[in-house]
Amino acid sequence: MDELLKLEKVSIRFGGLHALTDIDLSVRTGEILAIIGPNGAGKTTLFNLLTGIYRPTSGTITYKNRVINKLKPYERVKIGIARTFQNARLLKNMTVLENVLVAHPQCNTESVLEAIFLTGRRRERRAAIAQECVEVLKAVGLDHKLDVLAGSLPYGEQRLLEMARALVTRCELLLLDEPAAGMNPAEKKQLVEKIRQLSREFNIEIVLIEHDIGLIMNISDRIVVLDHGVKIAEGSAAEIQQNPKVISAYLGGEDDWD
Amino acid sequence: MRSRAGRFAIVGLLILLPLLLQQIDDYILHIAIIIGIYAILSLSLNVIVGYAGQFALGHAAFYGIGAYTAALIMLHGSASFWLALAAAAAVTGLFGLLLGSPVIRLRGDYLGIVTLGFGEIVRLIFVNWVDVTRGPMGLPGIPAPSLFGHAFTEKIEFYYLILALVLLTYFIINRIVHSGIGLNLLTIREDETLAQSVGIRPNPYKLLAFSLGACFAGVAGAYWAAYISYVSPDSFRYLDSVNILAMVILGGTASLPGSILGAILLVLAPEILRYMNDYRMMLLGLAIILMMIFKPSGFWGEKHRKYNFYGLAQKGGRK
Ligand SMILES: Nc1ncnc2c1ncn2[C@@H]1O[C@H](COP(=O)(O)OP(=O)(O)OP(=O)(O)O)[C@@H](O)[C@H]1O
Ligand SMILES: [Mg+2]
Repeated sequence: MDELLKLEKVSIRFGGLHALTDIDLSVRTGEILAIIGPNGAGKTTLFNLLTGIYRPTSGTITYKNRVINKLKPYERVKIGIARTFQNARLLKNMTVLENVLVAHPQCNTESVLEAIFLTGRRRERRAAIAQECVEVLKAVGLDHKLDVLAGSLPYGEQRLLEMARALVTRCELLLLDEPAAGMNPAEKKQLVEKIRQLSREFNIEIVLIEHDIGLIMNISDRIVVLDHGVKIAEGSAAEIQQNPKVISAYLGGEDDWD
Repeated sequence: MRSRAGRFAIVGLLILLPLLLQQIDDYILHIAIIIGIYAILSLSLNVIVGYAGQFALGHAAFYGIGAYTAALIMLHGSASFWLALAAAAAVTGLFGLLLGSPVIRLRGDYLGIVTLGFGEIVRLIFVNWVDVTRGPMGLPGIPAPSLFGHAFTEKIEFYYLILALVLLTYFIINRIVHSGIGLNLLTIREDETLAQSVGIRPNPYKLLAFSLGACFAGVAGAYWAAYISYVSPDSFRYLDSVNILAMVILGGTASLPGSILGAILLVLAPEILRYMNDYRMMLLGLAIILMMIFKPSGFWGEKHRKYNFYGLAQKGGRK
């Protein structure tokens, strides 16, 4: 399969606001795709469409040759789409391990009777599930903080925890909404390495939204540029940098790239 | 409940308590029994309010449905108490599901108002369905439970019965909330969008919480009917729902020891402050408000937990 995900003429309106208009986009296997664009361009809205939090006003979203427009967010997780949020969304009063456990598919399907009778076999199963979560936390580098409350982690580690949580769902497509926001240059560099490594290790396709142009040039195979809900350019880093439309969106008055 | 040993010590103490006290009078045993009933009620409401985060205000209705179901089955079907107990649990569990289905789509205040309405409707049915419930006159003459052919007559026997029921309730609810189910409930409570985004389907879990909570309120109701041997609509008013909710909040939402603590405090307080009877509700309201301001997590809130929600002990404790 060459195209994992495909959007055809996807639009969404909020009342009179055309948040996204006629977006055509595809995610191919084996690449890291970056979405860039000024504030309010519609990047997060695009992720919300892909994960089912919003439904498109028109157009079709196809994932693995199946139209998924109507699938609920939890159904999309089951078919392999996972995400992180722009503002880290964690269970702040729960531990790092618990935050990952909640996303584990088998933790999700424990039945009432299994919970009440808690046989030796069930206990072993739980320990195995927890161990799998620890392995994923190890992959992002958080396994030394299993019992720390998520809310007390530094910002950068909260982003990593979100990634671990997404990975444990055994996703095939991972959507990262500004994973480097609020990180310093050294952390960003590490993050790029981490994302590359995770993409290989877990064999997943990654789409990321990012403002830091340097980071994007460094990590992505292909870039899609959104502005005011419209796709204005697509291509390699070099092509995008030359594109006059992109340059004007960059420098275009009130839109600023933080 | 720090450790296994601690837990055994408490249970052992409760079993021996009546024997240790030289002259336990019936009054003290009665208070202990009432604490037990409310402990079951607050534990069960905690599943709905504390874990599922559904601010339900009609718990006394489930309590009442359980009591009437058990009473009717024992009176007309001459069923044993144990059968009536199971039937009451099943019927109220079903009512929890019925009430839950529409209300889980509501949020916050609306949910509170609808469940409040449900509580009133149920009470009005108890009052007005005279053919079955005998209305305000209630249903007298409910037989006492019997075990191996021996009918319960002494208060002490009822004490051990409620103790067993509280322990059973605690055990089952504790297992459930410390499982994947409990973890999912808390995720849904904290952030429903997030829950959906990690693959949790919220509605079945909320329904489960409603029917589980209702089911154990039904158990408390059945016990009450057999203990007092009489049920009437007066025992299942809106104020009783508020009282149970107050126990959950004072003790600490999403904390099972907290619920028991809440039941103890709010059953004892009016007994101790008996001479202030007129101000009881006022004091209760004041206590809840102060609690919300100064200690919103309750006297024994979630912070006290030493095990994570998957039932695994935390290595080295919280950092
Ligand atoms: N639920 C909603 N209702 C109304 N308008 C919305 C909603 N969600 C997003 N929008 C609007 O859609 C537009 C795009 O928002 P979006 O969050 O997708 O931007 P973004 O590209 O992610 O920006 P940023 O870089 O600031 O994160 C904005 O004008 C926003 O106000
Ligand atoms: Mg955004």
